[in-house]
Parts: sequence; C-alpha cells; structure tokens
Amino acid sequence: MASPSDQDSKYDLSFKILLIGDSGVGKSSLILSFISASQETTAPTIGVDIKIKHLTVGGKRLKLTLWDTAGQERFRTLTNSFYRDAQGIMLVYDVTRRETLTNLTDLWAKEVELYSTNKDCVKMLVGNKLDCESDRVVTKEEAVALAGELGCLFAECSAKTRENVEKCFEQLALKIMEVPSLQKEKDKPMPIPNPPSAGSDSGGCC
Amino acid sequence: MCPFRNFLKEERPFSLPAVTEVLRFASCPRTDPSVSLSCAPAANDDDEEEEEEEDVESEGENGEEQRQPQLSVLAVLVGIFRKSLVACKCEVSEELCGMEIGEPTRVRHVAHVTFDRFDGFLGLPVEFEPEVPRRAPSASTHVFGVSTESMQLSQDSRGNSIPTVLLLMQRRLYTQEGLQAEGIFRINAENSQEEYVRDQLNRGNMPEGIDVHCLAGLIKAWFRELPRGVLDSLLPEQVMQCQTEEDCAELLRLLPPTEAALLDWAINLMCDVAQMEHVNKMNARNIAMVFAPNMTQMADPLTALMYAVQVMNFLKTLIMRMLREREDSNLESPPTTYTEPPDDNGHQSPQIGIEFTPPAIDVSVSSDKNDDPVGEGARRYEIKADNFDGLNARARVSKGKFGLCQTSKSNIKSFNREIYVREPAVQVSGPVEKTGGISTLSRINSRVEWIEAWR
Repeated sequence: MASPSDQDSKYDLSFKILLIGDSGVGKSSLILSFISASQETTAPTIGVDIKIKHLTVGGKRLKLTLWDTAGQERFRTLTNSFYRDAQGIMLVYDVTRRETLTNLTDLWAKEVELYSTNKDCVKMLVGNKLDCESDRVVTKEEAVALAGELGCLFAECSAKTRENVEKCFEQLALKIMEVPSLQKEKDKPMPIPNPPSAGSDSGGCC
Repeated sequence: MCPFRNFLKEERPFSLPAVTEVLRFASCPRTDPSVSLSCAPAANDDDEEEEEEEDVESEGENGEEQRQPQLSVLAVLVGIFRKSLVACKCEVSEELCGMEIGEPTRVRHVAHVTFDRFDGFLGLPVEFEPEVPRRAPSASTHVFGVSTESMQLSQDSRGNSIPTVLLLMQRRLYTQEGLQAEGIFRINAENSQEEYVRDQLNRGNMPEGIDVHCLAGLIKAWFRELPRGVLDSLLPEQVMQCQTEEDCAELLRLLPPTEAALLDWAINLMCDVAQMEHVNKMNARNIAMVFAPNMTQMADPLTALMYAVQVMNFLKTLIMRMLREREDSNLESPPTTYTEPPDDNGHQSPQIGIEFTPPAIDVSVSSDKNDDPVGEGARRYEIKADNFDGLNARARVSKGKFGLCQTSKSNIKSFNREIYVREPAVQVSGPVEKTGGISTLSRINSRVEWIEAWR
C-alpha cells in the first residue's frame, strides 16, 4: 500500500489492541475516554470500530490501534477474525454486574485461547465503571485472583471519570514492550478488512 | 426425537396415510417412518411408467397405419422414451436393493394426531398424554431454532399470531419491570442462566425468577435462530434503497403473513422499550441496532455486519412511525372520537379468548366492538389479570376468522391498525424531544399502559 505518510514515520512501535467483553460493559466508552476524554454515552457497536492513538511510553513512540468489538451475541462469530495478530487483549467487565465477569471466564477467555494467533499476547482484565462504587458487586480481590488464574494483568478504571484509564493502556503497552516476540517495528501498514463486494451474501467465510 | 413415533404400535401396515399426515403437520421429516414411506411411492411410480410405456407403444402402432409420414419421428421418440425408462428402472431397482428395507410388520394404527398451532395436539390418546404434554409449545421438541409453522401460537392483542413462548417471555419481561432496566436488550445475561432457561423452555417449562436481561436475550436469540430470518424474504437491495417511511411501509407489504406478524410484534416490543428511554437509555436507534443483526441470516459474517446497519435504519424508521402513531392516538382521541374502519372482509367482532389450563386461569383478552356504546368500530382490549405461567397457555379463537389460515391481508392491516387504549389511568406527562427531532414522544407513566401494550 502506498502511504508512508508523516503519521507512519512518527512512531517506533505499533501495537494492535483488542477490547472484548459483554455488551454494555463500556468498551467503546473506555476507548473514547482514552482517546478524546469524551464521556458521552455510546450506542451499541455494530461489528468493530477501529481507533488509533499515539502515545509515548518508556521513551518509545507508540501507535496503538484499538479494536473495539461488538459485545452483541450475534457478532461473536465475527469477532474471531479480529483476534489475528493482536499483541494486547483487554478483557473488559463491569464491576457492578457479576455476570459480565463470569461470561469473561466462561466465554470470552475461551475465545481468546481459540483464536488469538500470538500465543505470547498480553492479556489484561479490566474492571470498568469504578465510579459506581456503591453498586459494586465484584470485589477487587476476587478479580485479582481471577486475573492470576487467567494469566492476565489487572486494572480497574472508570471511563466516566477517566480514573486510571490512561494508566491501564500504558501498563498494557509497557508489558507488550517487554515481550520480545511481540516486537515488530514498523511492519507493513495494518490491513483494514476490505468490505466485501455488494451482493455477495452467499458463499462461505474464510 | 419426534414424539409421534410413539403413536405407531407395531402390527399392520395400513395406517401409513395417517402417519404421513401427522408428519406433515409436525414438520419433522427426518423420522424413520418417513423413510419407509418414501420407498412405497417410488415403487408405484415405476409401475405407472410401465403402463404409460405400453400406451405409447400401442399409439405408435396405430399411427403406423394412419399417419405414415410421422412414423419415423414417432419411432425415434418411442425409442428414446423406452431407453430412458429402462435407465430409470435400473436405477430404481438398484436403489431398492441397496436399501434393503423390509415391509413393516405388525403395525397397528392407534390414532390420528395432528398438531394444531392454537390448540396443541389434537386426538392424542389419553395413554400418551403423560408423555406428550397436550399443550406442547411446539410440534418439534424445541422452541428455539424451529419454524413458526410448527409452533404453538397465540394471538397478541393486535391480532398477530405469535408463538406462545414469545408472548410468555414478553409478559414476564414486562411484569418484572424489564422495560425500566438500563440497557434492556443490549446487555447480555449470564451465559449459564441463559442456557438453563433455554433448556427449560425447550422442555415446555417456564422457570421462576428469570433475570430480565436473560428474557430479553432469549427473545433476541429466538429471532436469531429461526431457520429463516424474519426479513430474509426481502432483498438486501430493497432494504438499502428504503429511505422514507413510505418506502418502508411499502416493503412491509412484501413480507409473507407469518413474518409480517412477527415483525409487527417485534416493532411493538421495541416501541415499548423506546417509550421508556428515560429510564432504560434505549432509544429507537439503540433498540433497532441490537435487534437488527438478529432479523436476517447471512452466511458471510462481514456482509451480515454491513447489512445490519441497513436493517437497523429500516427498523428504526418503523419504530419511529409506530411511536408517532401511538402518540397520535393517545393525544387526539378522547374515547368517543376514534373509530376504526371495519375490515375489508367484513369481520366485525372477533372474540379472542386466551385461556390457561392450569388453575391459574385468569387472563382473557377480549376485543369487542358491538358492545361499544360509542363508536361503531372502537375496539376495547381488556386484560383481566396478569398471573399466568408455564407453557400451558391456551389461545382459543371462538370465531373462525382468526384461525390458522390468517390471510396476509388481515396481517398487514393489523400493522397499520391504531389501537385506542381506553384506560383512564393513562397519563400523558408532557412532550419530550426525541433525538433526530422527528417527533415528540409522550411519556406514559401508567403501569397499565405496559399491560395494555402487551399485544
């Protein structure tokens, strides 16, 4: 592809980070909060939203490509193809709804096992909606224990107040930088899936 | 597997026609009896073809005398015909030999049982009743992933024939105040609970204490798992070109009756959700978005994804339209003014009764025009109680009009039907700006309205 633009030359490392978790836990809000400090309520995501954020961590200029997936059940099968080549995966749950955590262990963590192509990819368990402390049902302790079980990093944050939001992305990026097999400096531009030609509603997926 | 197998007692083979009939009603073609059935006609065909062949031959001989010039042509034709027949025969006999299915023996015809979509199994012998629940939710053993054709139906108050299981789930959702739950239909329930409840529903039980998000998720799942998506009979191009409200209404008319009824019910449900936007945060767009991907089935997920956006816009338009209709009928009509034009086919007062077989019988929905002192056509819907459970629900239609063969006309009509809610408790609490600025919504605070809205 022909775009060695300014943007591309401004970073040292490029990471693909995937956010997964139940519908309504705040994946889109988290990304929005990280990128633009916006707190607007978001509509349900259809399929996937891709956003890019540049930041400097540990003296390196990073380009984070954030893949915001849909939590709707219908799209679970679709999500599979998004795991490819992800260096970081955030498993997001809602601290006020226990079932979002159980579904992470019952469903989403298994998806990660199944579909992620980078066996060394860094996973992080993220509890969102920390601002709703009074409604909290998942304690930090048990989530930490679960993160240990799943081999994940752990963070709690609030997309609404932006508490700890940047920190958890930075922490994830730092960890990815520590894993040598995940370092691919300035590889080819990230392929964005081409929309299939109109009218091809039959035929298998690949 | 199919419960009908139980009805065949081994004795003599004369009951096959009855069995075919049952199987057709039950729409489960993969049972063993149907295999043996399909063999018999094949043999018959073979015989008939032989006879035909003879006829043609004799005709050919006659033609030799009378129609000399055509002789050669006929001879060639007969030759070809005979060859093809011989080839067919070989194939058939080979197949028959290969299958080696013996004649059924000691089959006794016990009963002729049909599955009626409103009344469940008809003609079921008493001895089988414990095994097969009379009020089975479906002719097949599941209520998810099966065609509406084989499911037990009840009428919603708009006259749509809807699978009873959907109405029960909706009822539960409303009585458990699911409409006020933030992110209803967006939020997933715990997977294990959903699996459990789905399993129970498939067995014909409605467990207590189901989480509202679980109910909502299962309603979506029901649509998602239909053998054919509700909107699949429309071409994607048609949906994409659909810009205005009129376009959408036009498109609705193309839907087959079953799908039209399901869509009408679903749009109503979505309107009920959107009307509570101030508490559940699900506006018309949001609720349309979470429903859209469940209304079509496409093999390629990426195409499905893109199409979902179009479907979302389509649904949103329909929701906005219905919201406005509701608002209009609430604002404009003191009880006296609203009259509904009589149906084209002239049926005036269908008596719809929903009865429930267990002791908790309590609900009856009646719509009665004759009774109405005011307008000729004003309809009144009453729901007398709200305690019913289980899939024992029974919908009985006392006048044939709303029976099994509901015409597409009446279904589509019902989509445009505005239903006047005659309830003094309904309050209009003031107009609220809608996103998109298309209409203002009146908020109905009364709980009665949700019950009325259960249609």
